[in-house]
Amino acid sequence: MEYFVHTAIILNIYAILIVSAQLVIGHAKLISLGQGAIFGAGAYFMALSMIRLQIPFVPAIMIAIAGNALIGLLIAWPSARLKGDYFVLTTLGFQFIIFQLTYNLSSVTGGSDGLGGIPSPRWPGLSDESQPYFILSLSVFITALVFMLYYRLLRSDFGRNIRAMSDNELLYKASGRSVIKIKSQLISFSAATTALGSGLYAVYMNYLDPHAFNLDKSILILTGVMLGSLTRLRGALAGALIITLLPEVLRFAGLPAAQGASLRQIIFGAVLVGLMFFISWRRKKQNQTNNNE
Amino acid sequence: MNNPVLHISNLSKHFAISRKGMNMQRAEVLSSLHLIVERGQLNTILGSNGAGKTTLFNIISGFEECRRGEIMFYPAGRKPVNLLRLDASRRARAGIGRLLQGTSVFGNLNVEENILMAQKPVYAFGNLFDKTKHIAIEKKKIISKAADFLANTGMDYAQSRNRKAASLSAASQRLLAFAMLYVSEAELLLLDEPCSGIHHDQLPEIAEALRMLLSEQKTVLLIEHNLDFVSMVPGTCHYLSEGKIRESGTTEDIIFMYKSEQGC
Repeated sequence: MEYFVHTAIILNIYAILIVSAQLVIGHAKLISLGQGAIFGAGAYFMALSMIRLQIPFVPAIMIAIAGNALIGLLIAWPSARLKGDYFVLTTLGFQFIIFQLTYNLSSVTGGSDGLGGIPSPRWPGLSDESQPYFILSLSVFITALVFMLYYRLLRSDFGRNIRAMSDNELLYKASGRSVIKIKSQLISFSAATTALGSGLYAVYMNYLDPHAFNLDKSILILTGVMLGSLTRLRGALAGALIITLLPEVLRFAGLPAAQGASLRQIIFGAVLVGLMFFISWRRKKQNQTNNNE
Repeated sequence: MNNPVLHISNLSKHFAISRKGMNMQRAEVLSSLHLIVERGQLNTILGSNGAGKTTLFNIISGFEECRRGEIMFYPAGRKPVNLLRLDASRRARAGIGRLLQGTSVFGNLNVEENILMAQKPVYAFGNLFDKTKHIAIEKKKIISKAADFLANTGMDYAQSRNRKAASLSAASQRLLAFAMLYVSEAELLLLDEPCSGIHHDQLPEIAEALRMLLSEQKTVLLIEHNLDFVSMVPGTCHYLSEGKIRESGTTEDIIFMYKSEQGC
């Protein structure tokens, strides 16, 4: 049972990460390779404010959200002026910068030893055995909150502006709106909601290792968005399901752990390649039917 | 008649083209261009391909940089501004509207959303929860105004409001783009070839749309190659050649001049 609770919590965390990344990658069409670093930054904000400042869970997660919103603005400051390949490389640069900071700033982040002793929030009067269930309910609650927020956001003027901007930047400017401004806002907003996933991760694992937030994590999140859906909210959930459950399925296939891990990456890669072919094939077909109309 | 909305003086623009070898060559596109656009009128610019018409529009809109010259814009009831000091989105907010060559609608947005993009931008996270009442009223106003406009040009708004703009025909997309300019607060509209890709039979609809823009007290600056269309909408006409406005006059005269220069 513990195993199912663990998987469900991880699933919720990935769902938050993927729905946040979806705003940048899917709706704004900005391929970001820095989502892992943003996830990590939020987790360190959370952990440090709980350990070093002795702040309880709710205010700590507020700090993580605010901190991540600032990190998002920092990333957006140079990268919002760029698009396409240049945007990808800038976010990749930030991925390396944030990883190196968490890895080498040992006096603050614990460096390669990691950062341990993050307290979990506790419901008064709840026994130790029920603690994982409490964390699970908390993560379901927060995930639902994040999804509801994105549901509203994508139907608001802000969501419409994001779609318009990614559709035609020149026309977007001609309508009197600033491309840099909306890109900064959306990258910052996405980073802020990522912090909710980071906060859950920190208090659930009680320990942070900088390697959990490296480029592999960014690519995993990107894969999750691509496999799920670029624009649909339930697609984000599907993406989280795939990247959480695929390793578990392979585990039960009876492969040794080391091979299972590499096989997982091969399968992700193959599925991604296949999916890209499928998308381009479908688009071609759609164009044909449009032309025939 | 001396009430300009736009006063362009001494505008020069060149592109650097690299040829074989290392030396860069300068291609002069505009050289000390002067143009005065009177308020509330239709001004058509004629000129051969590559004369710099679209470049001129891109400089006025701020899509292309230009440091030499001055473009004074006189918005009604507000202080005049030198457009060259503003970035593209600020120029649009100051009151410069633009119809892009080719597609000038957001293809992935539906018709209603496209019209709402013509609304003045609302900041502070773009009205995340749609709660502000006066914005909702403003939205309704804009949509009903656009629906009236589309009805006058022969397009049914109620039927097409939920359709993606990309799925509309070329003519409907163009009319939608006109509707967006019509409901926007822009005073000076730059229309870059509104008839390209439009069937000849549908030119009267586009002409009607243009007349409606003028009836809304908007000033229009038009680039168009289709002379049939240009003669449908008479106004002031300018002949752009060798980076300068060579001649200004009535549409009839300038079309005659243009035709004789082109040798047809």
